[in-house]
Amino acid sequence: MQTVDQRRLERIRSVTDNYFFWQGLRLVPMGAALLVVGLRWTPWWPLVDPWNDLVLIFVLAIGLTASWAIGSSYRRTFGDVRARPGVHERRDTLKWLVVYPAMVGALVIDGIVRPAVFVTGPVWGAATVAYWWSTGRGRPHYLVAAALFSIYGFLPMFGLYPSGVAAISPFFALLGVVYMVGGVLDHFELKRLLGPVPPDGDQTTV
Amino acid sequence: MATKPRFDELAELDRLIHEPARLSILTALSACRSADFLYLQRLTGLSKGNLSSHLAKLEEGGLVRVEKEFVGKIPVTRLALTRLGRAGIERHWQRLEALRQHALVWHPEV
Repeated sequence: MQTVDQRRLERIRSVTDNYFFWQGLRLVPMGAALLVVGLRWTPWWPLVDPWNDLVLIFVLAIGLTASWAIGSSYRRTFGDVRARPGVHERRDTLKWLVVYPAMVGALVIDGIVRPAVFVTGPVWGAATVAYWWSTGRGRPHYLVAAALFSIYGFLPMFGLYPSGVAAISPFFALLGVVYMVGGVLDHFELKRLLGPVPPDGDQTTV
Repeated sequence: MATKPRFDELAELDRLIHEPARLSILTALSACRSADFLYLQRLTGLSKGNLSSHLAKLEEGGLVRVEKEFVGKIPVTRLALTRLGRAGIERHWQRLEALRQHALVWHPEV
């Protein structure tokens, strides 16, 4: 006899509630775009003007379009879920009033003040933990990503990396890589919960 | 003093809701406004026929509302909890949680 696995039920509830955020492959083209944007202001960037801006606009446009197309593909492959309106008001309020301003503020501080620590690292690390916590938890790779961001932020303290503006561009490249890897791992987690469609005529008891 | 288990409550659990596949369906629907047939099929691992049968029982019990719509030219079946269904699954979860809490502190009398 089948039994009720409470942990699985809780996972079903949290994934259904946050279905959009678990569609990880949406993040991959955005991550690739971020990686390119991040590399733009590093010594490894191969292009010269007038190609720089054109390539960046093109890459961002492709990233957004591909992300949208992958969302449609998720609907066709895994099904569609419509969220309950107004359920995540508190999360949205915190996101717009606290998390995003803190993330932008950290970038501004690093850009202007150039402190001993690259403040954006730990602040965006904390934002990543908030994202993980508020979108159904589960995926431990976001905790690894948060730790990576924080470590990156503290490297200048030990003279291992520059702080300030010089650290921003490589940070966005790192963010792009994290988006891509995290997105693929999100996808695997979703696939684990939403198994294949069985053929008709199986003998499962109704 | 040992806490008395509330195993009598087990018998009171609504069988229509407590069956594992139906509980999965209702739990998923409680977390959204509506979901389509394909999502529930992948979630439960049931064949079309079996899932339809479970959904028919839930619809008969007044717990689930079935809506048919077209996305382009493709027919899509969407499922949503009724008010009765939402109240039922919330009450069921509360009961399960209460039972779990009692099981944690329960010691058999020697």
